[in-house]
Amino acid sequence: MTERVFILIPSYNEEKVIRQTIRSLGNAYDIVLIDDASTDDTENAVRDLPIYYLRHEINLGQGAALQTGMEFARQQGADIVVHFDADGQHNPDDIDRFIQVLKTQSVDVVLGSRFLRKEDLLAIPRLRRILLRVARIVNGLLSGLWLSDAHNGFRVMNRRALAGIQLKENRMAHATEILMQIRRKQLRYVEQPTHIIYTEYSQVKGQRWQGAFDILIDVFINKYFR
Amino acid sequence: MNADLQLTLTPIQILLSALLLIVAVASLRLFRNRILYRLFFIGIVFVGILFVAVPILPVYLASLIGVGRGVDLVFYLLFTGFLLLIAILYRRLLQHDVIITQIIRQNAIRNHRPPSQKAT
Repeated sequence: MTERVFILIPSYNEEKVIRQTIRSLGNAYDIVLIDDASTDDTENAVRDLPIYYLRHEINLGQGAALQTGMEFARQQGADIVVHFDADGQHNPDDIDRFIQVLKTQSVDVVLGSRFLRKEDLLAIPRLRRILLRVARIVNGLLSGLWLSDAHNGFRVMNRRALAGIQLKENRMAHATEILMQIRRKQLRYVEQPTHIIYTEYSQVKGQRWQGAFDILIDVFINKYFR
Repeated sequence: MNADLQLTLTPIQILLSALLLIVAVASLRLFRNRILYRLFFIGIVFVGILFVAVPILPVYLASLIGVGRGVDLVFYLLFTGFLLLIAILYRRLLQHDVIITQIIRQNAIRNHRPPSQKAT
Protein backbone atom coordinates (compact mmCIF):
# COMPACT_ATOMS: atom_id res chain seq x y z
CA MET A 1 0.00 0.00 0.00
CA THR A 2 1.38 3.40 -0.94
CA GLU A 3 1.38 6.04 1.72
CA ARG A 4 -0.50 9.29 1.29
CA VAL A 5 1.74 12.32 1.36
CA PHE A 6 0.02 15.65 1.93
CA ILE A 7 1.82 18.87 1.02
CA LEU A 8 0.43 21.75 3.10
CA ILE A 9 0.84 25.20 1.58
CA PRO A 10 -0.33 28.13 3.72
CA SER A 11 -0.87 31.09 1.47
CA TYR A 12 -1.70 34.75 1.81
CA ASN A 13 -1.86 36.96 -1.28
CA GLU A 14 0.43 34.78 -3.38
CA GLU A 15 -1.59 35.03 -6.58
CA LYS A 16 1.50 35.84 -8.65
CA VAL A 17 3.49 32.73 -7.75
CA ILE A 18 1.10 30.15 -6.34
CA ARG A 19 0.37 28.36 -9.64
CA GLN A 20 4.03 27.98 -10.36
CA THR A 21 4.73 26.70 -6.84
CA ILE A 22 1.94 24.11 -7.06
CA ARG A 23 2.90 22.98 -10.55
CA SER A 24 6.49 22.50 -9.44
CA LEU A 25 5.29 19.80 -7.03
CA GLY A 26 4.05 17.43 -9.76
CA ASN A 27 1.24 14.92 -9.33
CA ALA A 28 2.61 12.46 -6.81
CA TYR A 29 1.19 14.14 -3.73
CA ASP A 30 -2.07 15.37 -2.27
CA ILE A 31 -1.67 19.13 -2.24
CA VAL A 32 -3.61 21.24 0.26
CA LEU A 33 -3.65 25.00 -0.24
CA ILE A 34 -4.80 26.88 2.84
CA ASP A 35 -5.77 30.33 1.66
CA ASP A 36 -5.55 32.58 4.72
CA ALA A 37 -8.22 35.03 3.56
CA SER A 38 -6.22 36.41 0.65
CA THR A 39 -7.53 39.65 -0.76
CA ASP A 40 -6.06 39.02 -4.21
CA ASP A 41 -7.28 36.49 -6.79
CA THR A 42 -5.54 33.43 -5.35
CA GLU A 43 -8.77 31.41 -5.36
CA ASN A 44 -9.29 31.76 -9.11
CA ALA A 45 -5.60 31.38 -9.85
CA VAL A 46 -5.70 27.78 -8.59
CA ARG A 47 -9.29 26.88 -9.48
CA ASP A 48 -8.39 24.42 -12.24
CA LEU A 49 -5.54 22.75 -10.36
CA PRO A 50 -5.95 19.26 -8.83
CA ILE A 51 -5.58 20.38 -5.23
CA TYR A 52 -7.61 20.64 -2.06
CA TYR A 53 -8.48 24.28 -1.52
CA LEU A 54 -9.34 25.51 1.97
CA ARG A 55 -10.08 29.12 2.78
CA HIS A 56 -10.07 30.97 6.09
CA GLU A 57 -12.84 33.54 6.18
CA ILE A 58 -10.61 35.98 8.04
CA ASN A 59 -6.84 36.27 8.11
CA LEU A 60 -5.45 34.30 11.05
CA GLY A 61 -1.77 33.86 10.24
CA GLN A 62 0.59 31.19 8.96
CA GLY A 63 0.55 29.10 12.12
CA ALA A 64 -3.24 28.91 12.07
CA ALA A 65 -3.22 28.01 8.38
CA LEU A 66 -0.73 25.19 8.98
CA GLN A 67 -2.82 23.85 11.87
CA THR A 68 -5.92 23.93 9.64
CA GLY A 69 -3.99 22.01 7.01
CA MET A 70 -2.75 19.47 9.56
CA GLU A 71 -6.25 18.85 10.93
CA PHE A 72 -7.55 18.43 7.40
CA ALA A 73 -4.72 16.06 6.46
CA ARG A 74 -5.38 14.03 9.62
CA GLN A 75 -9.04 13.71 8.72
CA GLN A 76 -8.12 12.63 5.20
CA GLY A 77 -5.87 9.88 6.52
CA ALA A 78 -2.49 11.36 5.67
CA ASP A 79 0.56 9.22 6.43
CA ILE A 80 3.12 11.94 5.86
CA VAL A 81 2.74 15.71 5.90
CA VAL A 82 5.05 18.30 4.38
CA HIS A 83 5.09 22.01 5.29
CA PHE A 84 5.88 23.94 2.12
CA ASP A 85 6.02 27.71 1.53
CA ALA A 86 3.76 29.25 -1.10
CA ASP A 87 6.31 31.73 -2.42
CA GLY A 88 8.47 29.14 -4.17
CA GLN A 89 11.39 29.39 -1.73
CA HIS A 90 11.51 25.67 -1.08
CA ASN A 91 12.95 23.04 -3.37
CA PRO A 92 10.40 20.37 -4.42
CA ASP A 93 13.28 17.92 -4.97
CA ASP A 94 13.90 17.94 -1.23
CA ILE A 95 10.53 16.37 -0.49
CA ASP A 96 11.36 12.79 -1.51
CA ARG A 97 14.80 13.03 0.07
CA PHE A 98 13.29 14.16 3.38
CA ILE A 99 10.63 11.41 3.24
CA GLN A 100 13.39 8.83 2.75
CA VAL A 101 15.19 10.17 5.81
CA LEU A 102 11.94 10.08 7.79
CA LYS A 103 11.58 6.37 6.99
CA THR A 104 15.15 5.13 7.06
CA GLN A 105 16.22 6.97 10.21
CA SER A 106 13.01 6.13 12.10
CA VAL A 107 12.31 9.70 13.15
CA ASP A 108 8.98 11.52 13.46
CA VAL A 109 10.03 14.90 12.09
CA VAL A 110 12.64 15.98 9.57
CA LEU A 111 13.49 19.68 9.82
CA GLY A 112 15.10 21.62 7.01
CA SER A 113 18.27 23.54 7.75
CA ARG A 114 20.11 26.21 5.79
CA PHE A 115 23.19 25.93 7.97
CA LEU A 116 24.40 22.39 7.26
CA ARG A 117 25.93 22.98 3.81
CA LYS A 118 28.13 25.88 2.83
CA GLU A 119 26.28 26.58 -0.42
CA ASP A 120 22.92 26.83 1.42
CA LEU A 121 24.44 29.09 4.04
CA LEU A 122 25.94 31.46 1.49
CA ALA A 123 22.57 31.81 -0.25
CA ILE A 124 21.08 33.49 2.84
CA PRO A 125 21.22 37.30 2.74
CA ARG A 126 23.76 38.58 5.27
CA LEU A 127 21.39 40.44 7.59
CA ARG A 128 19.01 37.49 7.67
CA ARG A 129 21.90 35.15 8.46
CA ILE A 130 22.82 37.22 11.52
CA LEU A 131 19.19 37.38 12.62
CA LEU A 132 18.79 33.61 12.21
CA ARG A 133 21.84 32.96 14.36
CA VAL A 134 20.33 35.07 17.15
CA ALA A 135 16.92 33.42 16.66
CA ARG A 136 18.61 30.02 16.90
CA ILE A 137 19.85 30.87 20.38
CA VAL A 138 16.45 32.25 21.46
CA ASN A 139 14.76 29.13 20.05
CA GLY A 140 17.20 26.92 21.91
CA LEU A 141 16.58 28.69 25.20
CA LEU A 142 12.80 28.63 24.81
CA SER A 143 12.32 25.17 23.35
CA GLY A 144 15.32 23.28 24.66
CA LEU A 145 16.00 22.11 21.11
CA TRP A 146 19.34 23.32 19.86
CA LEU A 147 19.12 23.20 16.09
CA SER A 148 21.44 24.61 13.47
CA ASP A 149 18.65 26.70 11.89
CA ALA A 150 15.70 28.71 13.19
CA HIS A 151 12.33 29.31 11.59
CA ASN A 152 12.91 27.14 8.56
CA GLY A 153 9.45 26.46 7.21
CA PHE A 154 10.34 23.24 5.38
CA ARG A 155 9.39 20.24 7.55
CA VAL A 156 8.28 16.67 6.96
CA MET A 157 6.44 14.70 9.63
CA ASN A 158 4.80 11.32 10.08
CA ARG A 159 1.44 10.41 11.61
CA ARG A 160 2.81 10.29 15.13
CA ALA A 161 4.01 13.88 14.88
CA LEU A 162 0.83 14.91 13.08
CA ALA A 163 -1.22 13.54 15.96
CA GLY A 164 1.02 15.11 18.60
CA ILE A 165 1.54 18.64 17.31
CA GLN A 166 -1.29 21.10 17.96
CA LEU A 167 -0.39 24.67 17.06
CA LYS A 168 -1.93 27.44 19.14
CA GLU A 169 0.33 30.17 17.82
CA ASN A 170 -1.63 31.62 14.95
CA ARG A 171 1.13 33.78 13.58
CA MET A 172 4.85 33.35 12.96
CA ALA A 173 5.72 32.16 16.46
CA HIS A 174 4.40 28.73 15.45
CA ALA A 175 7.90 27.81 14.25
CA THR A 176 9.22 28.04 17.82
CA GLU A 177 6.07 26.38 19.15
CA ILE A 178 6.61 23.36 16.88
CA LEU A 179 10.06 22.87 18.42
CA MET A 180 8.63 23.19 21.93
CA GLN A 181 6.04 20.54 21.13
CA ILE A 182 8.57 18.23 19.52
CA ARG A 183 10.43 18.28 22.81
CA ARG A 184 7.37 18.03 25.05
CA LYS A 185 5.85 15.15 23.07
CA GLN A 186 9.25 13.46 22.86
CA LEU A 187 9.12 13.23 19.08
CA ARG A 188 12.21 11.96 17.34
CA TYR A 189 13.69 14.48 14.95
CA VAL A 190 16.62 15.10 12.67
CA GLU A 191 17.83 18.04 10.62
CA GLN A 192 18.58 17.80 6.93
CA PRO A 193 20.18 20.34 4.63
CA THR A 194 17.82 22.25 2.39
CA HIS A 195 18.35 25.00 -0.11
CA ILE A 196 16.18 28.09 0.12
CA ILE A 197 15.84 30.22 -2.97
CA TYR A 198 15.77 33.90 -2.04
CA THR A 199 14.09 35.65 -4.94
CA GLU A 200 13.38 39.37 -4.98
CA TYR A 201 9.69 38.47 -4.60
CA SER A 202 10.18 36.26 -1.57
CA GLN A 203 12.39 38.81 0.15
CA VAL A 204 9.83 41.57 -0.29
CA LYS A 205 7.06 39.26 0.95
CA GLY A 206 9.14 37.64 3.67
CA GLN A 207 9.41 38.52 7.34
CA ARG A 208 10.95 41.79 8.39
CA TRP A 209 13.60 41.72 11.08
CA GLN A 210 11.25 43.65 13.39
CA GLY A 211 8.96 40.63 13.18
CA ALA A 212 11.44 38.73 15.37
CA PHE A 213 10.37 40.83 18.35
CA ASP A 214 6.70 40.11 17.66
CA ILE A 215 7.49 36.41 17.56
CA LEU A 216 9.37 36.59 20.84
CA ILE A 217 6.49 38.43 22.57
CA ASP A 218 3.92 36.00 21.10
CA VAL A 219 5.86 33.02 22.41
CA PHE A 220 6.09 34.54 25.90
CA ILE A 221 2.41 35.51 26.00
CA ASN A 222 1.26 32.10 24.87
CA LYS A 223 3.60 30.34 27.23
CA TYR A 224 2.61 32.25 30.35
CA PHE A 225 -0.83 33.85 29.76
CA ARG A 226 -2.93 31.10 28.18
CA MET B 1 -8.51 61.30 62.18
CA ASN B 2 -11.88 61.28 63.91
CA ALA B 3 -11.71 65.03 64.34
CA ASP B 4 -11.53 65.58 60.57
CA LEU B 5 -14.23 63.10 59.71
CA GLN B 6 -16.89 64.87 57.64
CA LEU B 7 -20.46 63.82 58.28
CA THR B 8 -22.04 66.06 55.65
CA LEU B 9 -21.19 65.84 51.96
CA THR B 10 -20.33 68.83 49.79
CA PRO B 11 -21.97 69.13 46.33
CA ILE B 12 -18.84 67.85 44.57
CA GLN B 13 -18.67 64.86 46.90
CA ILE B 14 -22.31 64.06 46.17
CA LEU B 15 -21.68 64.39 42.42
CA LEU B 16 -18.59 62.14 42.50
CA SER B 17 -20.34 59.58 44.66
CA ALA B 18 -23.31 59.57 42.26
CA LEU B 19 -20.97 59.05 39.29
CA LEU B 20 -19.28 56.16 41.05
CA LEU B 21 -22.65 54.61 41.82
CA ILE B 22 -23.59 54.88 38.15
CA VAL B 23 -20.33 53.07 37.29
CA ALA B 24 -21.24 50.37 39.83
CA VAL B 25 -24.70 49.84 38.34
CA ALA B 26 -23.29 49.86 34.79
CA SER B 27 -20.66 47.26 35.73
CA LEU B 28 -23.32 45.06 37.29
CA ARG B 29 -25.27 45.17 34.05
CA LEU B 30 -22.17 44.84 31.85
CA PHE B 31 -20.62 41.79 33.49
CA ARG B 32 -23.55 39.42 33.47
CA ASN B 33 -22.74 35.97 34.89
CA ARG B 34 -19.28 37.15 35.93
CA ILE B 35 -19.32 37.34 39.68
CA LEU B 36 -15.59 38.06 40.05
CA TYR B 37 -15.70 41.02 37.66
CA ARG B 38 -18.78 42.36 39.48
CA LEU B 39 -17.16 42.02 42.90
CA PHE B 40 -14.00 43.67 41.57
CA PHE B 41 -15.92 46.70 40.28
CA ILE B 42 -18.14 46.96 43.34
CA GLY B 43 -15.00 46.87 45.50
CA ILE B 44 -13.40 49.67 43.49
CA VAL B 45 -16.56 51.79 43.63
CA PHE B 46 -16.94 51.18 47.37
CA VAL B 47 -13.36 52.29 48.05
CA GLY B 48 -13.85 55.26 45.70
CA ILE B 49 -16.96 56.46 47.50
CA LEU B 50 -15.25 55.97 50.84
CA PHE B 51 -12.28 58.09 49.71
CA VAL B 52 -14.60 60.81 48.32
CA ALA B 53 -16.77 60.91 51.43
CA VAL B 54 -13.87 60.79 53.86
CA PRO B 55 -10.95 62.58 52.14
CA ILE B 56 -8.73 62.20 55.18
CA LEU B 57 -8.91 58.40 54.82
CA PRO B 58 -6.44 58.06 51.89
CA VAL B 59 -4.12 60.56 53.65
CA TYR B 60 -4.25 58.46 56.80
CA LEU B 61 -3.73 55.18 54.90
CA ALA B 62 -0.89 56.68 52.87
CA SER B 63 0.96 57.77 55.96
CA LEU B 64 0.26 54.39 57.51
CA ILE B 65 1.95 52.45 54.69
CA GLY B 66 4.49 55.14 53.88
CA VAL B 67 3.65 56.20 50.31
CA GLY B 68 3.58 59.94 50.93
CA ARG B 69 0.42 61.87 50.13
CA GLY B 70 -3.10 60.48 49.94
CA VAL B 71 -3.26 61.36 46.27
CA ASP B 72 -0.18 59.18 45.69
CA LEU B 73 -1.95 56.24 47.27
CA VAL B 74 -5.01 56.79 45.08
CA PHE B 75 -2.77 57.07 42.01
CA TYR B 76 -0.93 53.82 42.83
CA LEU B 77 -4.18 51.98 43.46
CA LEU B 78 -5.69 53.25 40.21
CA PHE B 79 -2.56 52.42 38.23
CA THR B 80 -2.39 48.88 39.63
CA GLY B 81 -6.11 48.37 39.06
CA PHE B 82 -5.77 49.65 35.50
CA LEU B 83 -2.93 47.25 34.71
CA LEU B 84 -4.82 44.36 36.29
CA LEU B 85 -7.87 45.20 34.21
CA ILE B 86 -5.82 45.30 31.01
CA ALA B 87 -4.30 41.90 31.84
CA ILE B 88 -7.74 40.39 32.53
CA LEU B 89 -9.25 41.84 29.37
CA TYR B 90 -6.25 40.77 27.28
CA ARG B 91 -6.61 37.24 28.57
CA ARG B 92 -10.28 37.29 27.58
CA LEU B 93 -9.26 38.56 24.16
CA LEU B 94 -6.84 35.66 23.74
CA GLN B 95 -9.59 33.22 24.70
CA HIS B 96 -11.88 34.76 22.09
CA ASP B 97 -9.08 34.46 19.54
CA VAL B 98 -8.96 30.71 20.20
CA ILE B 99 -12.73 30.38 19.74
CA ILE B 100 -12.74 32.44 16.53
CA THR B 101 -9.81 30.42 15.18
CA GLN B 102 -11.64 27.15 15.84
CA ILE B 103 -14.80 28.37 14.11
CA ILE B 104 -12.88 29.65 11.07
CA ARG B 105 -10.88 26.40 10.93
CA GLN B 106 -13.89 24.11 11.11
CA ASN B 107 -15.63 26.17 8.42
CA ALA B 108 -12.56 26.01 6.17
CA ILE B 109 -12.33 22.23 6.56
CA ARG B 110 -16.08 21.66 6.13
CA ASN B 111 -16.30 23.85 3.03
CA HIS B 112 -13.06 22.70 1.37
CA ARG B 113 -12.97 22.39 -2.39
CA PRO B 114 -11.73 18.94 -3.47
CA PRO B 115 -9.39 18.48 -6.43
CA SER B 116 -11.34 19.40 -9.54
CA GLN B 117 -9.34 17.07 -11.71
CA LYS B 118 -6.33 14.82 -11.62
CA ALA B 119 -3.62 16.26 -13.81
CA THR B 120 -2.37 14.00 -16.51
